[in-house]
Amino acid sequence: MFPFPRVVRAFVAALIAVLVGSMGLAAPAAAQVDQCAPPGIESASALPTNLAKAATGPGADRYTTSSVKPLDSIDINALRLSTPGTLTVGTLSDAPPSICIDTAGQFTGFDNELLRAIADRLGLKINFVGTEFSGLLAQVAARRFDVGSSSITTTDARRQTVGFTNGYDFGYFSLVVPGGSPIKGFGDLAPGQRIGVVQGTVQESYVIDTLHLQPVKFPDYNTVYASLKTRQIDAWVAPSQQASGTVQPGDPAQIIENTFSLDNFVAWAVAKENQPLIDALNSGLDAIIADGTWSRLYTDWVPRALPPGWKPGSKAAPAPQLPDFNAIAAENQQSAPAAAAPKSTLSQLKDAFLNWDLYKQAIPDLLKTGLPNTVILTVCAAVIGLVLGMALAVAGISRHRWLRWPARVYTDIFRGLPEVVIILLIGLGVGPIVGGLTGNNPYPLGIAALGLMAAAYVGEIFRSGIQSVEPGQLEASRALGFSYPSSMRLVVVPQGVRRVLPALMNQFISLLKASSLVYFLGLIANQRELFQVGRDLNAQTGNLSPLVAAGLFYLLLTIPLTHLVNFIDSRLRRGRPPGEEDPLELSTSQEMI
Amino acid sequence: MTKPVEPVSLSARDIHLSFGPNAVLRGVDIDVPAGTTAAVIGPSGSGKSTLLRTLNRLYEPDSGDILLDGRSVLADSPDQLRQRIGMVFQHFNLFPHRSVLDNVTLAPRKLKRLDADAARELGLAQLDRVGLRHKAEVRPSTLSGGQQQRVAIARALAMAPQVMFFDEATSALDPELVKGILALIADLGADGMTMVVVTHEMGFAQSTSDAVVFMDHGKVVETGPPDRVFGAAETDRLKRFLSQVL
Repeated sequence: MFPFPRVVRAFVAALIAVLVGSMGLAAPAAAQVDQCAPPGIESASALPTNLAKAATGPGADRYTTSSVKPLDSIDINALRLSTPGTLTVGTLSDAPPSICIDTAGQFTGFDNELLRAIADRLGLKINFVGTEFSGLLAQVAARRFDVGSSSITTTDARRQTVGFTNGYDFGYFSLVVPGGSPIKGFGDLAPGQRIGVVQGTVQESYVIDTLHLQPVKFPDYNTVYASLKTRQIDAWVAPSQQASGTVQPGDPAQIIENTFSLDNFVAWAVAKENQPLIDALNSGLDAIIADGTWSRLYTDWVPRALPPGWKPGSKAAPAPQLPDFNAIAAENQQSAPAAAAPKSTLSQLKDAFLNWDLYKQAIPDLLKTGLPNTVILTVCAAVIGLVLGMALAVAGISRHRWLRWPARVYTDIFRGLPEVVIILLIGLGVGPIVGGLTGNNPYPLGIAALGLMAAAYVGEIFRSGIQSVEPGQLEASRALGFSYPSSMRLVVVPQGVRRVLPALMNQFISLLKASSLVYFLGLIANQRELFQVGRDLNAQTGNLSPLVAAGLFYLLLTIPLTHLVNFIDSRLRRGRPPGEEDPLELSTSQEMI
Repeated sequence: MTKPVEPVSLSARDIHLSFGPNAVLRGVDIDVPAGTTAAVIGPSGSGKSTLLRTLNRLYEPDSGDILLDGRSVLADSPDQLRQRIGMVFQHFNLFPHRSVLDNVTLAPRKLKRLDADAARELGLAQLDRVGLRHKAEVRPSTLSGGQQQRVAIARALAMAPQVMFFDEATSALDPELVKGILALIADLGADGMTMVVVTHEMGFAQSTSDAVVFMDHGKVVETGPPDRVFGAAETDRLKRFLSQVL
């Protein structure tokens, strides 16, 4: 390889020193914030006061089954699971306490622990796979996952895509506002205010359809809450589980009012046509309600008073026995210490970005899980991109229309589509077709999607390189007796590729960054790449430091590459002697004898 | 050292070639007997370089015939034909990503399947012939223009061609380097190579060629032995051209 210039080496050394040093120099561990642990009964909350909208909710329930099949009549071989004997569950990592990933890298939360108990009663193994909400229901419908578990409220719109089990939870909405806000309740929300919601959630439709306001949409709960804390939005309409899990004492924000979910309950999503699995999960749910497991987990994870008239499971399920949360909440209210003093904006920022403890916590995972996966994804996709890109480049300059046109169309499509769209198209569109080959593992599909995308760019880079080679080179090679393909292979392409090495390296860096998008396809915990490792820890803690740590790892990879590019570039420039450039000027002066 | 090459005759009959609406060659006839040198002269744009590239079928003629050793070559593969005709370009067109020796041995190795040792021996012999054996391992870009053109000549000769084409081979050279290259070309002619030399060097055409071909507007206007062409031009166009360049 090329020797690194000294300045690059020094820079990399410094970067590593910062990373390593941050582990040793970290302040004595403050109590670790883990939002993905059961908060316990002490955190119980009473029935919210504003429940006026509840009348159209469970009262109008058309979907809860009147009874369930006996548990012992369920044939687990008839459930049409993607992996027989194992329940494959698509879930998210960022919505504690309902669904989250804990410090040990395990998917957990109230919803997932319930599901684990049900799988246990049914005699099934359970396997959790992290994904994005935007792709979850489609992946359940496509049978990539047997079950979607993500506090999904069962709206009619969603029932068009997937089927649902009976309800195991219900949804309050919470209104969260920054400290000192003039907004005191849902009634104060008005046009012109920036009201944050997470895209594609029931809260979004609540704000649009019921409140008739235009919300500001965010991709996930952490981003919307971070925006609220920094007062970039005026209010956040949140699922109350997420709100109570996220808003910490001392934060410059508070939950000021709750309301009840307009209609329907929270349930697990299952492919519509897989009724045997829906029946089995319903039986299991009733069974764990009857034996007290539901009550225990509910009390541990999401202790709230049940809304009047609602209970989990089928209509035949027994009412769960729960402690009197109203009384516990009232007691806690009295004994609760005065709210912690609000922190200054500067210390808020420092907490959010520069929490050394979290750096220390993040780095081993980033190093052991994130870094290898990012490198594998990028390198494999780069190989596909180079091979296919070269084919596209050669076809693109062919004299034959039937080679040139497909290459052109391919390049236009794959270069013109956003990366996320390509990844979802390949992962969710092609995934089910090749499911037998890949074992429904999205990892190779992610590599394929990244590779196909890179090929379009790489092909254009190669093409420009090849076309920049002087026509005289091809002419000289053909005059020696080489065929066109041999001339391209031996003479033109090697020169063209040399010229575009810097551009190729830039493309490689883009690919490195784009590799984070593979998470849209759903990866198990040890398949996560750098960004997702950082993001999961960010979701557990609500703190942005793990993301910054992940960012440093990207820099660790990209900065040396960038400098390598510059080095190669200048070497190629210096390597060309003056005078060779323009021999034409001389040719006019000496035609005479 | 010099490869025993059977020199062959080269002829063209009524060659026509158009690029789109532009007729570049408009019925060219040429006869180069085996072992002789034809110098092609004429103003810029008269079709001299295009004629060379048509004779070795880098451009396919629209009509007409090309004969090598009295036999038409149009039915054969053009790649086969070009292996029999060496070509040297104005701008050398050496392969900058390969060493001087590799430039010379690439075609014999890949096209004649010579093994590495035989190719190396052949390449060094050809470099010896042009006086550049000591530069075998360097990149062409480190050489002077005259040296690069010598390598280009060695590269063409390594395929043991039956005919050599030179396309303004000295036009891109510094004046002090021109003489050496012309002497090298003259030596090849003296060794009995059949050659077509497109040139602006009138002194060279006069002293070294067996026949001079004057082209203008895509046609051969006048042809004959050098003494007659330069001493007793028949057409006005040739007289005007000579008065401009001499």
